[in-house]
Amino acid sequence: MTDRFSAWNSWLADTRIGLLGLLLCCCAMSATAGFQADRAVAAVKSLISSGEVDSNAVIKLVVKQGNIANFLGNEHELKRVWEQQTGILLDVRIMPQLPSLEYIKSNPNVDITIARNREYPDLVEQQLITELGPLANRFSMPLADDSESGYLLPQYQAYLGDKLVAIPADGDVAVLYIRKDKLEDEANQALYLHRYGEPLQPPQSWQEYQQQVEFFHQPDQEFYGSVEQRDLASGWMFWIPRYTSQSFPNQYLFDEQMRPLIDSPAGVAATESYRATVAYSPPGILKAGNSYTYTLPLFANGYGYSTMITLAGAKVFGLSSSKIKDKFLAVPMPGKRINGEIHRRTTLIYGNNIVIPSSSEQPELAFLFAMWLTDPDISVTGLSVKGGFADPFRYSHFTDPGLQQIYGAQVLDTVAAELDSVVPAGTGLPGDVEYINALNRNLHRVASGTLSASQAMAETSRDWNLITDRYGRELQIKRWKQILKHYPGAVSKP
Amino acid sequence: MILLVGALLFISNGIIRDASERLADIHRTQVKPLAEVNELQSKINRVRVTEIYLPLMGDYFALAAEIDRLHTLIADFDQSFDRFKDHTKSIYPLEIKSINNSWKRLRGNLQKVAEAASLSQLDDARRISTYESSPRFVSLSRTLDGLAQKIKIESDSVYQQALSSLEKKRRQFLIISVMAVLSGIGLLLLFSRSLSVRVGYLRRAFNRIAEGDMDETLEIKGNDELAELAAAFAVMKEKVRSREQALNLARDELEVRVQHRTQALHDTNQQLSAEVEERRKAEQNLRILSQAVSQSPVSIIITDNTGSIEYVNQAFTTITGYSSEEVKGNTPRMLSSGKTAFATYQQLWTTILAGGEWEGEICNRKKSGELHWEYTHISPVKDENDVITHFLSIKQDVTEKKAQQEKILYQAQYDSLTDLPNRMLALDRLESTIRQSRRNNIKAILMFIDLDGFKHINDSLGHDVGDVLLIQAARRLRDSVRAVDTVARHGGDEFLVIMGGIEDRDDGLPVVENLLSAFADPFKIAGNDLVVTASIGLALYPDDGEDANVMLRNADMAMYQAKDNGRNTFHFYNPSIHEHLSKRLELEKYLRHAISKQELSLAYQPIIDMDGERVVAVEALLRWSCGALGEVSPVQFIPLAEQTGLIIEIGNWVIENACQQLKQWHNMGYPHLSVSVNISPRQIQGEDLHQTILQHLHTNELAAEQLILEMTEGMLIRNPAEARRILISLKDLGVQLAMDDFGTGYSSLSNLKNYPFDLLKIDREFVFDIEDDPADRAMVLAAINMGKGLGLKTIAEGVETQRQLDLLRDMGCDRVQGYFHSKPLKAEQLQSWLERNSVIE
Repeated sequence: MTDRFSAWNSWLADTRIGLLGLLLCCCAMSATAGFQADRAVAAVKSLISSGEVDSNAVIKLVVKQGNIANFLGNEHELKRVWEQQTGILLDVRIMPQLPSLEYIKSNPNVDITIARNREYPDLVEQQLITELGPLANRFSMPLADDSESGYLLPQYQAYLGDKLVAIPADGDVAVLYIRKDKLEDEANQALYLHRYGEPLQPPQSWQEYQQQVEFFHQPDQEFYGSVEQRDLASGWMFWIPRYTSQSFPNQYLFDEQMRPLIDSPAGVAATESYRATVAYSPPGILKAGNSYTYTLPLFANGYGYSTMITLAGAKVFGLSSSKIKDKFLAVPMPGKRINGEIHRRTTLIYGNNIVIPSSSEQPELAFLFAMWLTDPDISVTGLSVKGGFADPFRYSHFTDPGLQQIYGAQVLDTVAAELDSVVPAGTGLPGDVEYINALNRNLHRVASGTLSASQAMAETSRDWNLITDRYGRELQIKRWKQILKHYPGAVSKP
Repeated sequence: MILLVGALLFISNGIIRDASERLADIHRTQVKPLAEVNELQSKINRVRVTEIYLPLMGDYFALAAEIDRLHTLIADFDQSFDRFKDHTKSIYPLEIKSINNSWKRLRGNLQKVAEAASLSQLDDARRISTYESSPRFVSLSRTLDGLAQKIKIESDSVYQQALSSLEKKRRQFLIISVMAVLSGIGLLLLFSRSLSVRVGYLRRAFNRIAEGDMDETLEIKGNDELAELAAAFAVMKEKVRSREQALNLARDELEVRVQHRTQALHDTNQQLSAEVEERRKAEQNLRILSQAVSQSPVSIIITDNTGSIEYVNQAFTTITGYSSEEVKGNTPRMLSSGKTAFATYQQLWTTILAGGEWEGEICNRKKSGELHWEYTHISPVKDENDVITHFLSIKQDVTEKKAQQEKILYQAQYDSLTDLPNRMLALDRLESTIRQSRRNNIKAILMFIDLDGFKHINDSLGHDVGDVLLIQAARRLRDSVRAVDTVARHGGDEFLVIMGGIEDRDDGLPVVENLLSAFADPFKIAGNDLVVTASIGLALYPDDGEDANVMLRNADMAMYQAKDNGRNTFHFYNPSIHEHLSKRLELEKYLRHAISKQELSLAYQPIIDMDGERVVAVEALLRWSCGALGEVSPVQFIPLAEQTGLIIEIGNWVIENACQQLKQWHNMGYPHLSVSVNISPRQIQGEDLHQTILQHLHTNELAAEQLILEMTEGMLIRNPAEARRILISLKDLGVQLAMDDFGTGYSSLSNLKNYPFDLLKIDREFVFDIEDDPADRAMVLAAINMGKGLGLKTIAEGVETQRQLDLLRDMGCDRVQGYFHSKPLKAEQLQSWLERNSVIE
């Protein structure tokens, strides 16, 4: 236990070091597009010429079916460019739909793969991924975080404490999508005003959102008020924004002694809000396995008023084959009205960022490839392909004309404005898989009608206490105190 | 001379015009259509690959993009095909019509595939792709291949004709040019010779006259200037005084004439130069033709008749990486990869040395070492004596096309999830094994394997976990068989193992044991320890069938028998299984309509509390009066309903009817009566049970504790942890839980205490002999004491005599049920029974 704590303590040590690192990164602020990629290619050539790396070396890359196109480019364009520029070949495979932890554990022969933000703590805890700070120092390639072209939210996307553990490649901030044509329809506006005494406009609060979900629900015409996911595996994603927005500055998951706060009135209210959409959702919404692969086709084919997903949603809703092309809006997550102002929170719900497994035989090449791929210019090429769920992850992506064309300027502006409201994904603690599994299980029981909201939060709270004890309460308390520092502190405006 | 020059100009112009027209014609009718057919082949392959990939896209983001890509590729093919039609419909009208028809039908299927995929209906997309698009794609692809072949054959013929025609013209041109030059030289010589003879005669005469020989006579015939000069000279002779002047005049005039003749000679030379220039232009045109060959996009090699390379074009060096200098003097053997069959080369040489043409595919190696496939056409080149002087080889790189064909073939034969042979390939291999066994007079075994409990895992933990489980299960199966055996995925959670070279059916048993033990360890997936076993059915060739389909059917039936025998075991096929299954299928057919035909009913048997002997509950028992088969015993149809999944619908019907009936009895004055219904393991694991119970309790305004759910021990033994979770969640609803048939299974005290049961029902088997058999008496007493120890109420089933009742009361049993009090009764009969026995609650 002491060893584990020492290791963790070193990761979460004085954040001043992290801030200093971030300050140094500012030196890279002026890095022009393409510069990062050129540096990476030059470093690879240098490694080959020095004999440190065999020119016949191959990087073994494993990504998911949904983002392989983002890594390889249209018709494998990026793969060809990398191989032509460096001579280092890429061996690409597809990862099954498994948690990265499971995959990395059972597949040692991988140089570079992907993991979600909330998986970092368990991956680091079990020493399954490589710390990237030494590689960044060796190649003098710090992670840029400037507001022109730097990486978004590096404190969540790249770092665990002050340790660099991942290279961001997917900025999965959740937003609410609603049907613009339904919202702007004059008959709907008149009826809504008559029924509720207020104008029909993008929902600001969770209460307004629920009201609109009920208003637009027409199951006899196969049109549902909400197609938010409610399957067993993804409950937390849609509960966290509801829960964390309940109090100013944040409704936290634990107090400073790691006692769960979720069985509070705030937790019950968030859970009730989570449950309330189920009655206005399609029949299969609770079924196991009905994730976004179930909800997005429904929304894209015009069967629903609202859904919640990342920026990638806008990409598929805007395809020429989509039935709602030009008929949807992305709006900020609703919030809670506190002292007359709307208090919003959202989170990174998927986020497939780049990690290098500890078992990698080519960590240097893997790191340089990751830096090359996430270069401001190269990454625009990767994000521009039609397939792929990777989302903009650098500030420059929000202003890129090509990406504005693909995602829609309105959608990009909405997400850019939400960045200040993003809270950490999951708990951010080792054991996150177990904490979130317990939460998901009980949320599903609430949604299925077999448990009340208060019972569910009470049971989850009991489960969380057991998990905390198993991981060592004192150790978890120290870690939690570090995580608390990363929560946002501002109230966003309506 | 002028005629000759004119003829030369005419012929050379004809050669150039003819070559240009032929080039344009070849380009229009051969080269361009061939290139466009190749383009269409490539595009339709891309369309097909994308279509096949669509149903494999588990992630919606990737799927949506692939759908978009498919639409783009369809539009692209449309455009290319429209262009192709415009160019070639007058040349290949039949083929264009056929391609047009095939494409229209295929495009319709592709639209359906895209539509199904856009709604995530991937099974529909896969079905359309496999059964509707596939034959249409093959038809279209073959038509394109045929057209390409036809164009290629025609182009070879036209090319040969063009070469032959040009050669003929070239020879004509050379002969006439030579004749023209020789004629010009001859005329020039004749003219100069005539002139010099006559001038010489004059010169000699003048010399003599100059020397004073005035008697010299000058006789020159003709009427040209020289004759006149001679005459004048004669006059001069006569007129001595003027001789000098006349002589000078004559000389001057002669010089003028010589100059004129010299000018004529110069003009002739000019004409000859012009002719040479014309010839140079003709040669230049021949060079253009040569460049056309050199710059052709297909690879061309010309060897001498021993195979030694004399010429390669630019396309050859680009494709192979060898320069022209590196290959000249070598034979094409230097490109050999060793991958092409010796017989192919043998056939090639036999054909071309006999003067014939050969075409086929050859795998060669580039300078870089990379392998590539070439479609090669070799034809001999003969001289005017019909002797082979050279060989012309035209090669087209078909590596990508072959790779695409191999990929499509692989996808058609292998299961994309497990990488095992699919059903189609498995049947193919089974037929092959049967043929081999028949030839060698030996046996073969087919195993049909079904994973027990897979469906539940797939439904409860999701398809992702299910898919990983199938991958791992496939790996274990593959590791458990011999290297020569085939393991295939039949579909869903069903696998096949084909074993050839068997002497006796027992030879398969070691492999069967390996397979069963391979499933002993749980599967670790996504943090879960999943226990899955296998049921295996075996069919032996030739004893259980001599045909692949019969073997498959019989192995399938044997597998069902293994399932019936308790799962996690194996069973050899025997004919009685067939009969048994036929009966079962007939029963299943009628059972499927039992609810809609209102053939099901419920009978109720009272449960009596020992304390005051009052009725506290009734057990609802299912009855089936089938229109075709008459009364069917529950022993027959309930296990069948369980196996087929019908039990969920029937079980819900039981709960609904039992709750309605209970409400009626409550309204008739028995408000404290409870009803007990039997719940099957499959029903418990279903998703709707909670909702069904809540709905019917709510609709009939019943308190949850008035519904008792009875379940047997089997469910607890199979997956204790899962059973505990489910029972706790049912208990959360407020209903009572009873363990049915206690004592017949393997339950232990430790098992019981872990589950939230309220009631323990002792099986009638023990109660039956309780009066005579001390062992049964001891067993019942132990069960009652155990139940009390755990805080459970005990119910003895099958009580038929007063003595049994007395003994059970003495033992402390809480409740009894049996014929002693009442047999199971129809609802209205039970009401009368309640009234008669005056035990109103």
